[in-house]
Amino acid sequence: MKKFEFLEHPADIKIRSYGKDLPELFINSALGMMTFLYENVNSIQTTQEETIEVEAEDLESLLVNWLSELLCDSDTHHRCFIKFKILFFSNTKLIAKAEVGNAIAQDDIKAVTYHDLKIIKEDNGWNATVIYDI
Amino acid sequence: MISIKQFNKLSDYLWEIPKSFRSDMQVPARIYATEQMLKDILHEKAIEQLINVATLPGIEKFALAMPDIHQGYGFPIGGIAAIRSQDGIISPGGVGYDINCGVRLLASEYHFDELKEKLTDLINQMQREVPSGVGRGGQLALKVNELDKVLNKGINWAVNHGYALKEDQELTESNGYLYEAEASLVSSHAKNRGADQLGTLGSGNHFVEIQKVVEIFDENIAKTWGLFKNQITIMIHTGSRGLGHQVCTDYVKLMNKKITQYSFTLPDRELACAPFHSPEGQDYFQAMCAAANFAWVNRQLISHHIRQAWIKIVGKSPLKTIYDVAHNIAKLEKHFGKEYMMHRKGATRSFCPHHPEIPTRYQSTGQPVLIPGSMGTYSYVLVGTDDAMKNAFGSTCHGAGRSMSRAKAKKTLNYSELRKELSDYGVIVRSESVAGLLEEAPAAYKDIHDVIETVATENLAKKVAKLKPVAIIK
Repeated sequence: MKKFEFLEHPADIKIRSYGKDLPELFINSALGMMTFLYENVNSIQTTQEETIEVEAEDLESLLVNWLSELLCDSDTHHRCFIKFKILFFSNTKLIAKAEVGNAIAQDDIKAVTYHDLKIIKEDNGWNATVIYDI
Repeated sequence: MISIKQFNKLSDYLWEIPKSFRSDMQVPARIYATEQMLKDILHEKAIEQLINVATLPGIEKFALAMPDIHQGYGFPIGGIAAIRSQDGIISPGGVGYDINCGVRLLASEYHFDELKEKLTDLINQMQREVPSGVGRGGQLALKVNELDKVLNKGINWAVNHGYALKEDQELTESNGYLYEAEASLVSSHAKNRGADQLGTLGSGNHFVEIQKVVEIFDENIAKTWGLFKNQITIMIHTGSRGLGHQVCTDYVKLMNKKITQYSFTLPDRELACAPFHSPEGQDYFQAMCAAANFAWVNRQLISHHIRQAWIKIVGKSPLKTIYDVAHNIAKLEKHFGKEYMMHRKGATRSFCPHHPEIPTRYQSTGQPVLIPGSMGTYSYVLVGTDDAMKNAFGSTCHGAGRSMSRAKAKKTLNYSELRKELSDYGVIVRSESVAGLLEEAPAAYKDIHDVIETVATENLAKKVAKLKPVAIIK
């Protein structure tokens, strides 16, 4: 199963990600965003481990808050998050660990938006489509 | 998809979706465009987004779109909403993530011919002084209490620290300072994200451009403002950087959480809003004002860096500010005797002559309206009009508007052909990123000529001068 793909959008960037379950879907959504920002994420040397904790009132907001938290940290501290491990997951709370490496982004994302946000369950797993404002 | 038959044609350049089109519309939705421009955007969601804006509580007269409309998130880009402050809402989505993205125009005293031999040195020096692209910090690293002063005081801070002339402040929209700003309502996330970005350009469609005035349409106004044919000008297009993006993110999150407490429902979560007089509405407004102040200081610091580069290469004869406009902002304004929260997202204020909110020296002309083109096309200087006040709550367009996705531009356009096209057009380009340059290629944008002709014909602004890029930092 592919992890994510970049789709067409007239002004911004649209990423669809896939996962056999919701934790994997959230990991692959984060990887999609990090790949857009840093391109070759596998070449980044990780030096630290970080715990990320987000809460929200529903599943869609949880995805937006999760990605927004990672984006803000990445933009502030110039570092890329990879190799995620979900420690706790519910529809309103997520705790994850990630390896972090210092890097300069190749591209910029202003924000994660709710516009046309879709989290869909299909027979063989989940997919989520997120539009990013760039 | 909406078809053109569902619009009422009000003139060759003005179209309306009536209120009866959808039961949740409070007002009609209007768009300024030629028939062809309208047809070209029907496949996008921009019109649907404009109709969604027409449902917002407190909106009056119409949800309005300018000819540079294109699909955004929540509001379309090029969208304008006048919402009663008394009982209406305020929406972070109606301002956008780049709070107070805007344009400043600086003018030199030189003709193009006097400086053309120095252009390469000048753009190189400017590139050294003004950080651009992703992840490059600015020359200033402010401590939190100093950053709070920037957020609370706007350009006043820059004047006090020697980064701005009094004249710069006078010639900036709202004098570069929204007094409602409150730094304590800006999260530490947002402050940290923007802390090292003051005085930086960023990426995307932001730029610094050296330009040549190639045509003057109104000699009297141009003279009043200090513009003349073949003059070298410098245009700066940027906003509030990561700080503004995070303020919007934080308050969309907060308002989405609170939305069930309000008495209205929304067709799109990205339109998240709160009653203007609710605690969340007030907090967002004051935080947004703080981010707007940050953006004005950002453009001011970039102007300062450019002036330093200018002195090193050209010598004396300082660059003067013509004007500085916001094109992503929400402000309290009076129209037709009432107070509105004016949301302009990808739209420029276009205030008429004798309006109390424009600078004293521009009272007889109306405010300058600065419309940046793409890097291979012209930019325009226009002037605000009485008709803009009457028909568009003192607003007009903000730029060319995209016609091709960034992904498609990167996939289909060729870098060396683009460099050659720009070089043939007579533009020196300095860019940190190949992809960034391709994304912003002229072919990815609508024809700015059509956008300008539409607003000029409808008199939402009058043409004053046309500027051609000669050197660009992206």
